[in-house]
Amino acid sequence: MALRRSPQTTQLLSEFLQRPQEWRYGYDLSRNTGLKSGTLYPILMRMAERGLLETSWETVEAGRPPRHLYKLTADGLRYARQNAVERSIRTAAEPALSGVNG
Amino acid sequence: MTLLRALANRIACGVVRGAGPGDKDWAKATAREMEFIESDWSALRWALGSWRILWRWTATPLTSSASVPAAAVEFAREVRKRTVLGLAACAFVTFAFWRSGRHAHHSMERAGAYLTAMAALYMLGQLLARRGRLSTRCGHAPTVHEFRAELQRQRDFHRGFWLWSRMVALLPGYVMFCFGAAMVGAFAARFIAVSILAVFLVLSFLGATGNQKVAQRYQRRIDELDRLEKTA
Repeated sequence: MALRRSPQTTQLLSEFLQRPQEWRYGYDLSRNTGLKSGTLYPILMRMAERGLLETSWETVEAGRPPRHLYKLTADGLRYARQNAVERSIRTAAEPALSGVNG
Repeated sequence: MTLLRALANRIACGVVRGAGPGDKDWAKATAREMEFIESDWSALRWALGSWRILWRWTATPLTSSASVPAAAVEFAREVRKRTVLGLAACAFVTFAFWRSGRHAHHSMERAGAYLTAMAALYMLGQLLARRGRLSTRCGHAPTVHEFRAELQRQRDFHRGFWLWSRMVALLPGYVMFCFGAAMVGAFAARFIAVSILAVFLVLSFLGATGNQKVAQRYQRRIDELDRLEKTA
């Protein structure tokens, strides 16, 4: 099942592409993308369900609650890059097309 | 701890409690993240947003073929509950509208009431036809094949012909009933009848969307079974 490419999903994918090898926290992703928890988590859940996102619980010293971490899988990275390429092509084509129409 | 923070914590705990077995980790994740939010207002907004997790309900993930029988039993229980509640609701609607039809003052109201009662009977028939078939009695453990077949049956009940035929059967009669009731009453009664109709239309839309969401959930389960079989 393909992931719906909403502007918010695209935004999140580009955020992951900034540091693709790093594990990321949900709150940091929310702050950097401006997505609210109610938008961010359903997207993360769908990505994990489709095998695009790896999740893990942070290992911490006793007494501190662990945090959930997220990283793109190899498939997720490929998908995010493809998405970024398609977006840049679209962005480049838009002025040209509007010139033709205008 | 401030009142806002306490409220945010309460909401987050509620989300963790109410989340489906497959969504628990996500609910816990949002609750943990909240502890790192400094502003109380932001924490409250974060907690309120995490309610979205409750909109979807994911069953226990199928990690191996050993987890299939338990998941099938859980599913059979869910279908049984839906069938019993649905049958009770349809029986009640049939009875109520049949009675309304007998006491209606306007022919359109009467026709609408009888049509609605018949539509409820049709839905009752659908529920009986699509009641659960998974046998979980006497220690019988359903196989992957049986589980998939039942998921497909129930998925189809919540989408396509089965869903839209229910909507088509129910809507015209109820609309006629409300218009008929509005015709005989005074202005206030008309206003109430039209308001009830508007609420009903909104609920029908939500019902159709909800059914499709359930169908999607069952489809996800089927996909999970497919993946499990591929990896086995």
